[in-house]
Amino acid sequence: MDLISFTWLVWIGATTLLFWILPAKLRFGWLLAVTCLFLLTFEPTSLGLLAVLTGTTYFLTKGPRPDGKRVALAIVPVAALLFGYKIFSASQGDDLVTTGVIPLGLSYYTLRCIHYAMERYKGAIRDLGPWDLLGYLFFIPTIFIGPIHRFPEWRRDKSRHRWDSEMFSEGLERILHGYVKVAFFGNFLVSDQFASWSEDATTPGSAQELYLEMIRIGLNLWFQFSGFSDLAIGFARLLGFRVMENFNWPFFQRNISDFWANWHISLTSWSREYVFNPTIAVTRSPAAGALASLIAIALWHEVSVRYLVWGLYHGLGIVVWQKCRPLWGKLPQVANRFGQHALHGLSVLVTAHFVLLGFLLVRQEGFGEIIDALQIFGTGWT
Amino acid sequence: MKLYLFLQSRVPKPLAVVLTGLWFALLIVLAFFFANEPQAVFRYGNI
Repeated sequence: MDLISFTWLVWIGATTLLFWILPAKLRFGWLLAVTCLFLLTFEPTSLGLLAVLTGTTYFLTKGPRPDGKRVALAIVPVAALLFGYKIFSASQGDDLVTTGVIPLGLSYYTLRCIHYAMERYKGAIRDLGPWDLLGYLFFIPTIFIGPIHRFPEWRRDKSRHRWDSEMFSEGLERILHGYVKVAFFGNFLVSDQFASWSEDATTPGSAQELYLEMIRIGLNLWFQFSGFSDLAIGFARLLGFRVMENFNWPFFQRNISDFWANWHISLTSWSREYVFNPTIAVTRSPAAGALASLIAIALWHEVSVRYLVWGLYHGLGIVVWQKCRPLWGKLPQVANRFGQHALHGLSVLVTAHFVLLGFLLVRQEGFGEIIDALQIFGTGWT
Repeated sequence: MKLYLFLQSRVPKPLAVVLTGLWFALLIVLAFFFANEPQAVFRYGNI
């Protein structure tokens, strides 16, 4: 089912209406029932997997404080399942999202399961019984496309749960913003109008065509993905939950580290907690942490050479930036305001182009096509 | 809401209400008028 549709609006409306009409003790059972009904209707495989993952995660981490072996037993099969699906999907051709090779939402609820198990191991989350874990993992607004919200915040909102008209109004506003971003900006302006204009204005196979394609891909991703995140955040607010933000003007950041702090925030913060920090704890090297973190993010999207290259590209970008940062501070500072603005603009432009080039390269089918695209940029300007 | 609060501190309250209303009307028109645009494939990896 398409999330930009009247059907999904009806699901949001009916879920929210009954949620607030029902007595407080029945509300979370209702949310659980809606998620099960939705998955049963549109994605039964996902319902089965999510039920199994929830069960194993709960039973292996229950008790006062689970030991490392039990937590590893909870995490390894979950991660292996996701990894297996990613390898399988990478071998299935190009039209993967629409054909649904990967069960709906698996990439997201796997990371939530790992988060829960790790936090139980650290002792940051108490064993609150299976219903809280079920409610968290089966939370319908975020189950399909994130954000990868965290259990403590979800539990806090659940315990403080009450009607808040201001939050409800914010929710409606965010849903509207989401629809406008996806339908108007993403689908109409970027994918339709901008694509036709660039097709007419450039020669096929030229660097100009590739450059405009690069901008189109980046803008489309941003509008689509942040629009869908708005829908999820808005839906959660209608139900009285504040879910973490996922995007904060990523293409207007001054360096690659800032870009990753503002693009798919819930994923990058997950990776910081569970990949970057453990890697640093073992290696004492921020560079190794950045590389491991970005490679994990890349392989989470797809286990393939092109995504590995994409992860290395961004990881090395961050490492180079970390190394250059102290030198940057030693350069003579620009005193006048115009110069500062110009420098700021230039930094934003360079960062955006670095990221956009990465998106273009990862869209190529393999390493050979990546080299071809780079060659066109080198020699194909007409 | 943010837009309304922003406007309220700068223009008379009735005008802030009208401008906010017009802004949301525009968004609703855009969202529903273009809702039938063909969906671009949301290809951000196989998520």
